[in-house]
Amino acid sequence: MTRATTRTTWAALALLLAGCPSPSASRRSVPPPAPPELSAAPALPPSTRLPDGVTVIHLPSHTPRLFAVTLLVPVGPLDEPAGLEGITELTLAGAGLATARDPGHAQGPYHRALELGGRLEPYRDGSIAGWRISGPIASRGALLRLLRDLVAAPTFPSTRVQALAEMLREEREQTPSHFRARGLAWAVGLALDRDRPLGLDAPDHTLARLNREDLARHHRRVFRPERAVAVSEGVPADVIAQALRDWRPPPPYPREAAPCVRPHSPPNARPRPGQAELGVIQGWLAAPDREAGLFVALAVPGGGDPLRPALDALLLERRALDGGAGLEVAVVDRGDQAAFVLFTDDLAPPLAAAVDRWLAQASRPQGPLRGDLGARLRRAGALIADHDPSLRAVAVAKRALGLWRPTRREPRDDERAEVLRILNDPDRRVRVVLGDDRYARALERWGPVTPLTRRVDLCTE
Amino acid sequence: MPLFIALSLLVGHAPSAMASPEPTSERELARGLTVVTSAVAGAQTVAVTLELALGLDAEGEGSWGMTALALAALRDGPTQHLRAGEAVALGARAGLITRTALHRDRVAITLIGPADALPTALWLTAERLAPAPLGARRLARLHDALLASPDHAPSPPPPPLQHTLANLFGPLAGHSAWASHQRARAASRGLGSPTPGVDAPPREPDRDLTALAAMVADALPRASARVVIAASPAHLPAGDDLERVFGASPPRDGGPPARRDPSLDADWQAIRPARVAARHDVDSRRLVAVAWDHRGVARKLGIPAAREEALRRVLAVLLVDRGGVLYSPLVEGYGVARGIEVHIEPAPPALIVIATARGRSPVAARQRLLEALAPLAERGPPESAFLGAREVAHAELEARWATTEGRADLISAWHSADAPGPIDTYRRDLAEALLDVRPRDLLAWASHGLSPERQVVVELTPTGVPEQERVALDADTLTDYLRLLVDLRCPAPGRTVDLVALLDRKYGLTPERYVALTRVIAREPERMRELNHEAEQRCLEYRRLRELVPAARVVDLHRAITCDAGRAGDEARRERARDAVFRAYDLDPSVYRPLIAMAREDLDLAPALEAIDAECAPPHTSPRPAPSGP
Repeated sequence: MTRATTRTTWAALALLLAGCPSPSASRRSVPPPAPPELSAAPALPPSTRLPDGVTVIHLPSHTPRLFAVTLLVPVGPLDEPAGLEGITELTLAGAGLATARDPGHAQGPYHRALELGGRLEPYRDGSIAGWRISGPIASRGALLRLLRDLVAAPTFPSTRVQALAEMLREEREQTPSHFRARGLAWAVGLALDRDRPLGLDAPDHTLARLNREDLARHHRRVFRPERAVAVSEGVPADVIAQALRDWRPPPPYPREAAPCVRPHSPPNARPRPGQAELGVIQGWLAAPDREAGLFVALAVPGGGDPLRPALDALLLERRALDGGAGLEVAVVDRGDQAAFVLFTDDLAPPLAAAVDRWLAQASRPQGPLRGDLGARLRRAGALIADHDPSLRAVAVAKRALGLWRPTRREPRDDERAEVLRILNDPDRRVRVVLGDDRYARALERWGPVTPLTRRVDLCTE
Repeated sequence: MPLFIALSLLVGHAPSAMASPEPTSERELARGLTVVTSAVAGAQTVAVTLELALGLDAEGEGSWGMTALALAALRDGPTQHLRAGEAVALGARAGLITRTALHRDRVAITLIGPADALPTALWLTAERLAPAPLGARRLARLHDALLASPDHAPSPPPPPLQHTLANLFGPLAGHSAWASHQRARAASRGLGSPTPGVDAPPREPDRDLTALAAMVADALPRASARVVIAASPAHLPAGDDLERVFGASPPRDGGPPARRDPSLDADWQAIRPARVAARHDVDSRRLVAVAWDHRGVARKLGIPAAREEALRRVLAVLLVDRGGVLYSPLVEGYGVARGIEVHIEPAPPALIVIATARGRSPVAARQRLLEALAPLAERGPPESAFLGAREVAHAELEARWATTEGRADLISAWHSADAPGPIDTYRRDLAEALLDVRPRDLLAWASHGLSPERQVVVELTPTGVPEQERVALDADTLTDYLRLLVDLRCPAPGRTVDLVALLDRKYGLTPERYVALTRVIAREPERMRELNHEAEQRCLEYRRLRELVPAARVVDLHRAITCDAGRAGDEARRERARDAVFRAYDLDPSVYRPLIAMAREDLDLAPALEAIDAECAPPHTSPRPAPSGP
């Protein structure tokens, strides 16, 4: 056989193999496209400071004939008075009932917005709260004045506030899952070194004592122009300044000289309820059997902390790799602080084995955080959130307030090591078990367990 | 051509802008495979949706759950070059997020992520078009993984919505996404990996699951497919690129046909009941669901599809917005409801309104809901609210059309609803109609679309919830419980209480129900204390009354007052006769009514008293006060 014939035969064989791969060879023969390079995070959009103190951030509008303004202030459960947990949510809902400039009783802010072709949406999470108003450019002035009325002149009509509280109380009674929300609130509160729950929803004791004065006081305390960030889509700063010109900083509320916030104890300063020898705090919240579950929580870097992107990357990576199955894992932001929370309703003995397994897996050297997967997912999440105009505005406002860090790069080794060290520090953990007293007894194998009351001591003013 | 050559060409190819002036174009690349591309100006993300015509409508007896299993296989099943479960992780590595959806006519997988991840998204989509065979056991595990993944599993519609849709458009047995999931899960029960540490051998797949797995394996490669790609013009692949990626796909002959009886569409009024009882597994006592079937309304009125969709979108805003026509009359203040959901279903078209009632009965909430909606079909909507809602609906459409994910969703929905003409033309017509429709248009449409003939009230009966959670502590229940406490605490002299018989004969309660009721009340110590106090007071009063008139004389007294004195000719004479009776019994007249009320609680005396009432009470008066409420 000549050399030319040999070459031809090999070429034909190669072509044959390339075109008709064998079953075993074909399984790995075609690689998927290489993942794209990570790009740098975009710069913060331009901003303007209005004379009254409001910071205006300008975003491009998706559609030229529409505008939107999202006005937010940094407020969350950490700013709520003890005994009035959840009042931020109620303040938003109460302000939406009526303002001093509504043309009639039946024409509240939402009705006014709809008649102007606009939409009014409240927003709140654990760090930030406010309203977004959007609509056609033609109604811009009237809709912005409506936004001003919400932040400057809500009336909190007493009867309707009571009706709102009554409705929420009824809803609470009829929603069995509120026990879990309560357990989460306690786990976060204890992890952040507060001896009270830090949830978003108002618990029973808040609803029971609620009145319009409480709402008005909280509103005046937190909705102040110098604290506010307005994210504008399609509205120049001078137009916003003109609409908000009547929003003057309210004088300090007479009873606000000593805000009703119980000072929290510094870490390890004194024994905490249920504190075990190892430093683990354990609590028990009585709940129906079907709601039984265990929260394990610990304080982690807040949204603006340089370590936070590495923590987010770890969570996203784990979720992508295990398909989200297994434990429910979340980072709960409360202002500039945050708690890492794991929840399991698998309470078969040994209790919390699933949680321990999860944390042990997270700390393996070859475990998560070994590549740039988390960073990629974080970037994708941010891009997709940009689709939602509300989320985009909130993200920009949080970034301006230092409550969110938009890093897209891969976590460095030292950042990974520090995150894993935090997650695996047993002294920082809080355990809150829901269910009947059997689960409380099961938790006692680690140390004393304190029943978490549903009512905290009211603030002494 | 081997796939890697196609990909290298695609990756190396400079992204080409769309040549067509319209942003959306459609190509049939192979028999049974259509690719729709749509350019979203300025988009930083891409959305690639793969749809297979393998929806819930294809299910029937023997194949319930097939769609959910097919979705699991599509998302996580092995392909020509990927092992099971690899596709989602591979997408994640490129920054792609995978979402799934179950529809009546299709299952869908959408990949969303940064624009530069488009080659990976297309590669994964092409892979999923060529699934590898899958065993029943593996399929069951993939389905469990799909259900357990909160980020990726399709959210189940709320139970009232499921049942309403099932009742409107298909058999009630389980024509809903979640029911399909549940059936697939039931079929795969016991097939998971054995518990760690336990040496029990894994069970063999049962016959149902094996059959379902075979159906999925047969249907997945055959079901006709549509790929919708939404990206910025700079990233959108050109026709040649698409041909290289998807062109080698084998023909897809369509898969299993839909089993939904098309005659339902033509003759729906004849077979659809106006009121159905449905069951679901959460407490639904307070949910009020009312639906309107909108099939054929546009045809009847002779209005274009885009104009009808515009009207339905404006109606949705009017109903769901807090400043709209429902929120204020139903929810604000001490309203009859505490929440409203509005669903506008595109295909088949329907409007479903679900309210969460307050108070003791959903009947009042349903009535109020219908009263609030009636003016739309009688007088039309308030003009100012309508014009505002029109703007809001238009803005919402524009906002969704401006994002890649929203664009892909809209295109899929319009394809599913057989929107006439090219997609861009339809979208333009819809946008124009949204700015053009008037209140009188909605009045004309609503007079048909919201007519009682098209209305379905879905009544839900909760099942699978603990007995004690079904107890509603309304006024009637608490009154009955108080009477029961009194019966138990101060029975008639010389009488022993047979609790089971008492519960059954007097209150229609089972012992289990009584225990559940007691538990629920005992959760509220304050209420229990009040009830005990009230029962104690009533017992004291009963003892006093029994001392005044023995039980044996109460029937005689009632006969004397009702029959003898009551037969007197006029009121003055009746009054004198009654006074005479009271004197004869040495009784103060004010004691008479409490005495008879007490006697009516006695199961032995009550029949005799009722017989006297029936015999002697004037025909225009009721012997006992009518129970309040519906």
